[in-house]
Order: sequence, then C-alpha cells, then structure tokens
Amino acid sequence: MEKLLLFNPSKCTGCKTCEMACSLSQTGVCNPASSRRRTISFDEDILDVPMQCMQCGNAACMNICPTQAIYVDPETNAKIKNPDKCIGCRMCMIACPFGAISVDPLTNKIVKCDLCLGDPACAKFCPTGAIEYVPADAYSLTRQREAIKEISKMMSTIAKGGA
Amino acid sequence: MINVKVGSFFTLKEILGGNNQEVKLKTENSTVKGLLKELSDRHGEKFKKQLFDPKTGEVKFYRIVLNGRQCHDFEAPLNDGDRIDFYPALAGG
Amino acid sequence: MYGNTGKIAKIDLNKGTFTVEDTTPYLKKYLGGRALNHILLFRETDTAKVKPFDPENVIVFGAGPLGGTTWPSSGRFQATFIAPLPYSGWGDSNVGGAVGPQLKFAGWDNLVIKGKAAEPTYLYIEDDKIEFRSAKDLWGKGIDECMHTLHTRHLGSEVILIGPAGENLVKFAMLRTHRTSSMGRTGGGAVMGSKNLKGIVIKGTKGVKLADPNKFFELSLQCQRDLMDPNFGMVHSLTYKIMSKYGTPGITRLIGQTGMVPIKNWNECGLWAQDGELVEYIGDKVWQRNDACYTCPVHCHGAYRIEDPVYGCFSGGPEYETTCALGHKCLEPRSKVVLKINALCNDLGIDTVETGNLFATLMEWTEKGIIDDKFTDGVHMSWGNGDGMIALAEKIGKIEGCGKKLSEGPYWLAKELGEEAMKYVYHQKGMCATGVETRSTIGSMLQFALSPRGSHHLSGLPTAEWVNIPAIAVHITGFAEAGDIRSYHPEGKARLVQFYENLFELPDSLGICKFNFGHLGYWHDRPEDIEKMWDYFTKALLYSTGTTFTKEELMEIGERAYQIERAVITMRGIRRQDDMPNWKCLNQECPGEHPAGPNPLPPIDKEKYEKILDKYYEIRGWTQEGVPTRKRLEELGLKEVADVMEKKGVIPGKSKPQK
Repeated sequence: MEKLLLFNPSKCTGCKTCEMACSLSQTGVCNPASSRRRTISFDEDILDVPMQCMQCGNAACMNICPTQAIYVDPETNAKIKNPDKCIGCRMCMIACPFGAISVDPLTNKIVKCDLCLGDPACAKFCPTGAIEYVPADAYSLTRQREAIKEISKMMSTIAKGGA
Repeated sequence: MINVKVGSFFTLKEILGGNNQEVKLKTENSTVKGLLKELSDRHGEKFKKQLFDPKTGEVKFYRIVLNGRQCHDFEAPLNDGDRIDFYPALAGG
Repeated sequence: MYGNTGKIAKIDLNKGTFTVEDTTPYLKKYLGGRALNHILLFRETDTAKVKPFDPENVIVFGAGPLGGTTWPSSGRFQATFIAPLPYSGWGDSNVGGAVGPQLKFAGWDNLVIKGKAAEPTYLYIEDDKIEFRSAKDLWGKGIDECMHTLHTRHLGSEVILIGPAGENLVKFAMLRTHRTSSMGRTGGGAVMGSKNLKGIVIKGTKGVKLADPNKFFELSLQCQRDLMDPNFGMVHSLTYKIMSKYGTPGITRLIGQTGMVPIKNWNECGLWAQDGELVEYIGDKVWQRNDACYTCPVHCHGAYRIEDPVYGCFSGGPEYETTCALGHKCLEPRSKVVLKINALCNDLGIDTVETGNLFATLMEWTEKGIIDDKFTDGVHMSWGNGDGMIALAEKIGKIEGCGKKLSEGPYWLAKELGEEAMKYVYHQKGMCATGVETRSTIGSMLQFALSPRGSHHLSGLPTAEWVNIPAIAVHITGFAEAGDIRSYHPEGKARLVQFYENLFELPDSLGICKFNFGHLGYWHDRPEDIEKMWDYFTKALLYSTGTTFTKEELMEIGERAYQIERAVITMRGIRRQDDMPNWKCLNQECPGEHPAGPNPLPPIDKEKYEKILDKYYEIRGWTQEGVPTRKRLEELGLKEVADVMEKKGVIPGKSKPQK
C-alpha cells in the first residue's frame, strides 16, 4: 500500500522541528528558508499548520512545467524535480495551490519535497505525530476511530436529551 | 487483616491502577515493609523498577508518606484505615 | 564557521551604525551565548561603574552553537547587561521561543548594543543588514499589539519587544519574544527603554552550517527519542510527563511536599488547599493547546483565551513561577484572576515574579501597619485581593499615580521605608526570590544567596539535593550529605552548589533549554546516566562546531563564566554580607502543610551556614570576603579581568587604584 505524508494541525505545537529536519537532511544546513515545508502560525487562533507538498495525483506543477522537469517516482509516488531539465521559470510555484514550491535562497534554485526518497526526515523528527508517513489505509482507519470517539460523545449527549 | 489506602501520582499511579487504591494486608505483614512486598508481588517488575534501587534494594526517588508525614521507619506498624502516599521527589522551574 | 555563525554585531545606537567582530577566537574559551556575552559585556563597558540607564551601558544578546538546529529545545537566547533591579547590578535573563534561532539564521551569534537612540527606534535585522527604524508608531503601545503589527509588517520574522513598562523604566520591566516567552528578571526591559529601543526584529535566510550534518542529524534524533522515552530514567520521564501536559505549574504539589512552595509572602510554605484549582484547572481546562519553543518536544507552554466580562484575556503561560508569585504568595486562589494578571504583565511588559513578590510584600506591610491605603492610591492590599492586584499592575506598567513609586520594586521601596519594612522583603542582593522556599533546602539557600543577579534558582539549582537519590550526590561531590536537603555539611554543600553553578552556565552558552539539559543528565537516577549527558554534549559539539571539547573543558567554561559574574559584582561592591540569607531566612521559622521535611522549617542556622560559605569561597579561590583572587582568575585565563579589578582597587596589586 502506498505511504502518504500527512499532517494534523490539532497536534502541532509550532515547534518547527520539521523545518530543521527537512533543511538539514536535504541541504546539510539548518535553515527554515531552505526547508521544503513550512509550518505557518496563526497567533490569534492558537493554530499552527504544517504546510507541505501534497504530492497531488494530478499535480498542477507537473502539468504546467514547460520542460517536463517534474516526474513521478515509481517507488514513492512523489513528484520529483529533475534538476537537469528545470529551467527555473517558476511556473510550478505559481501553479501549486498549496504554495508548496519555493526557492532555496542558498542555491537560488526551485525546490520541492521529494519525500526524502521514501524516508521523510520531518515525519521522523516530529515529536507530537502531527506529521506522519503512513500507509494510506492505516491513516484513514485511525482518523475514523478518532472521529467515532467524537461522534459517540455527541450521540450520548443527544440520547440524554441534552444539546 | 487491615485495610490501608495507597495514593500515588502519574507513573506509579498507572502501575498501581489508580489513585486511592485499597490494599488489604495480613496482620503479620501490616508494616510499610509488608505493604511494599504486597505491592511488589501484585504488580511485579514494573513496580519494583520504579521504587527500588537495583544495586542496594533501597527505596529511591520516592518519599513514603504515612498519614501525611514522611515515614523513615519501614518496620513501624500500620493500622486499619492508614493512608500511605508515594511522593516522587522532583525539581522545577 | 560551523555551529556558531562566526559574526558578532556591535551596534551603536547614537550613530546608527554597526561593526562586525569574528566569533571564531571565542569558541574554545567561551562556547558562545551566555559565556560569550559575559566577556563581551566586560570589555564593552566599565562594568564596575556604569549605571543601568546610562547610554554607556551595554545590552548583549547571544544564542549559542546549538541554537537553531535540530537539537531538541534549541530555541534559547540570553541577555546580559548592567541591571536596575538587583543592587548587585548584574543583569541576566534568558528566554525560549524562536528569536535565538532566527538570529543564527540571519548569520549572527551575538548582538552588542550600546548608546541611546535619539528617538524611539527598533532594529531591523535581515541577514547581513541591520537597519535603525522609527518606532514612533509603536511607542506607548502594549506588547501584544506591537507583536502583531511587526509580525504582519515583517512576515516570517521573530521579535524582541518591550512594553510601556520598559519605556517607563519600571525596574522590573521585561522583554518578550513570543506569546508567553519573556526575558523576565532583573529589568532588561527598562535598559532597552532607556536606550529608546522599542524592540528588535530579526529575519534570517542564511541558516546554520554544521561540521558533520549526517552525524548531527542522527545524534539529535536519538536525543529527542531519549527525551520522550518513558523508560529513560524516572526523574526524567516523570518530569517530561508532567511538563508536556501541564507545564511547570504541574509540578507545584510535588515540590510542595518538602515545603518548597512559598505561601503568604514567605510566611508559610508547602501544600496549599487551593493547589488543585490553580494547577489542574490550567492544564486540563484552560489551555487550548500546548505551545512549544523552537524544536522542543516537551512543549511545556500553553495558550489560553478567557471569555469573562471582568477577567477576559488572551495570552500564554502561566509558569509555576507566575502561579506561585501571584497565587500562593499573595493568597489569590482564583485561577482566572491569576491568568488575567499574567496576561496584563505579558502585555505591559513586567516580570510576574517581582510583581507577585511586590504585591505580597505590600499585603504584609498593610497587615503590619507599615503602609496604609494611601500608599497604594486607596487600593486596600489585603491578602488575596486579586482585583487590587489587577488595578495596581496597570498603574505600574504605565507609572500612573502610585505606580511610579511601586515601579521601584519591593527592595528599593523598603530602602525608603526603613529597616522594619526591609524585614518583609524576601530578597537576595535586591531582587526577590522565585518560588523556592530556601529554608527548606540548605544547598538552595546557599545558591540563591550567592546568585549574582539576586534571588533566583537558575544560577545553579542543586537538584541532586531534591531527588532523594544519594548515589547522585556522591557522584557529584563525594559526599552523601550533599544530597540531604537538611544537611549543613560544609564541603558537601559547597561542592554541590559550585558544580550546579558551573553546569548551568552551559545550556545558556549552547543556546538550549535547561529542561532538555536536565532531562538528559543531572535529573537522573543513576550516575552513569549523568555521564551519558556528557557523551551527548561532547558529540553534539564535535558534530556541530567541528571542535573537540572534553567534559572538563566544558565545566571549566562554566567556572570561567561564573567567575566573570562574580568579578563584576564585587567591583560593584558585593561582599560576604551580601551572600548571607535575608532576614526571614535567618530569623523566622516557616510553618506549613507538607509531608516531608521538618514543620515548621527552622530559620537558617547562621553559624553552620557561614561554615559552608567559608568552604565555598575557598574552593572558588576567593578571599574570605568573597572576592575572586588574581591567582584563580589567571588560572582560568582571565588575566584581563584581574587587571581591571586591580585598577579598581578591588584586588591587591602594584597599580595605583583608579576610582
């Protein structure tokens, strides 16, 4: 079964370890600006969202690239940038609905997540499990169980005649 | 037989199955030492690892509090209705 | 350079310019962060003479070689300056959040800020550039609003800000960097305010280079896993369990058991009936989620929003120190009142610890008839008057009415009111104590009394004394008595305190959190686990900086850093009498409800205490008046410090003393 890199904002504490792990693993330098993923903070809402490349099935970046520089890794299904074909036009940055493609200021090149070729550093390092690299069905089953807990709380309130 | 109540926090609480556990002790074992043996028998390695130094066998890290005062004499008799609390020694900030 | 960035910025607020110094020569002797701050402060201003609000005073900020990396809890940031609150003048505060890392990412290790801007200013640091921008639109406004404005104006930046309290030179004004992360103690906010410096905004895109990225990656991952492992020692795993859900307030009852929690302005101690309400209410019912500092798996902070017509507020925290200062010390049991005052202090920019101690002192002075309601503009400071505390906090931040004189803090107020008033001020060297009743543990008494910045546990809380595991005390000092909280064993306690004082310099010099440092090592059950900590840190330094440090070299850096602090405060007049416990500690017993330890706690035995002090001075290489000797300073490579001390006439020598 394919593994998916997924995130859960309700578990995120805003620690930014993911940005450190990503940039260190990919570039050898600890630098959030070089990280392929960024955790966005919304102070007033007490919310942090670990934004990332969603490795879309019908990827806008792949579709828009004029030189077909983005290809699918058959092992992981990741959408990977081929540096030899990339002309640095940045159309992929514009096309991506998640803002997941960026320019690494240390190299001035376009960078995107390649799932660390199947061993994502961010998921390894995330201390709360807000970022997980899990088989697709395991993820859904876990979320369904969590949802059931919430639903059953609701059901018992309704059954008691309260709201 | 006497009944005593055992209080604990966090990790030890999980091992003992909750705060305010009721424990029955045979009269001949109704001392703190006897209680520790009873809890060791009941909860095994997990409890022993928490409470006893592996080299000396002495209680370490936890303070044993009997009816609200720290107890140093484990041979002292316990009475029916006594309360024993395990307080972990801690630091803070 | 690896680990450290290699650059120190020396900023001149008068001229609006800056120069760059190379960090490289400092690494082996100082590491970075705090210890480097010390020598930079020493060199950049006349630490013996300069007054806190003089433009010639310098505020030094530093991160550290492990700051801003994958190392767990790599978000710490240190400020060092000459301070207005403690009469020792030693300014020292440290903070979490994410500012330290951002400074590293911008390519800077330390900032040395001197002078005074002509108008309200904020520094904007973006990678190599440092700009002096107008803060006219921010001056007078609360930190919450300014933080939002600057975060919006400079997307992706981190900020250090003062509030109205700092602008108004409140002696215990603080600097804030995050929802709740503050550089609270000693009045750094006022020093920034005296320089017309509203804040510093930092944005960095250069990153931190490491000598061996792969090995550092693996080691830091292992470190994080050990920190979170429930089997990695009992002390550690228990602390992690509590802090990660309830934050520091979660430990209240556990330290209360030995009488260590102060109650009612240090007149009582131990467990308080209202503990549950204050402590569990917050972690279980109020926090919307746990907040983390940079790369921290402990996430011991929390954020709250309270809907209430009177006490409504939105802020972060509180710490145990805050619930203890505003709750236990003042007898205010209502959580939402304490949370409201915490939010006010966070916004106005005042230190909750000194604020709580101030209120508690005012309550005792009121009870004893030393002050009347006129002193506090009609606010009757009876025990537990949380609404009065709210009213006064506002006045202090804005120095309105009685707020102006209250902004001096309890020690300086008592200096005006007289000896009787001073008896009730629970201070050391002019700053009031954090939430540790020092009559309960003898080693802590010594450490608090010696602390260069005044009464505080972070100069080196001797935790081996608390954890009730004699093997740890023997491992550190050679004496089992060192681990007995009631013992006055001179050499045992002296060595215990010296060890922790040297040790505590290190996390602040590396840029990491003491909880991480503690969890890995000195809060352990077994000596071999303490040695594991050294293994971790020597490797971390090798893989990050490329330089080898031994455990002995690291402890020597700690000793060196501590001796600089002592040198500065002795030049400013500190002597043996300033290392003695305060009036309550020496003269008053302390009753309370607590299962362990004697009840009441007796006062400190002066004679026995002085024997420990004698021994401590001896092993530190100080005179019996507590002044460092040239011999000791030179052994530590601090000849320049000895030379200045000799010029000032503080240590004997051939040069004619300058005044």
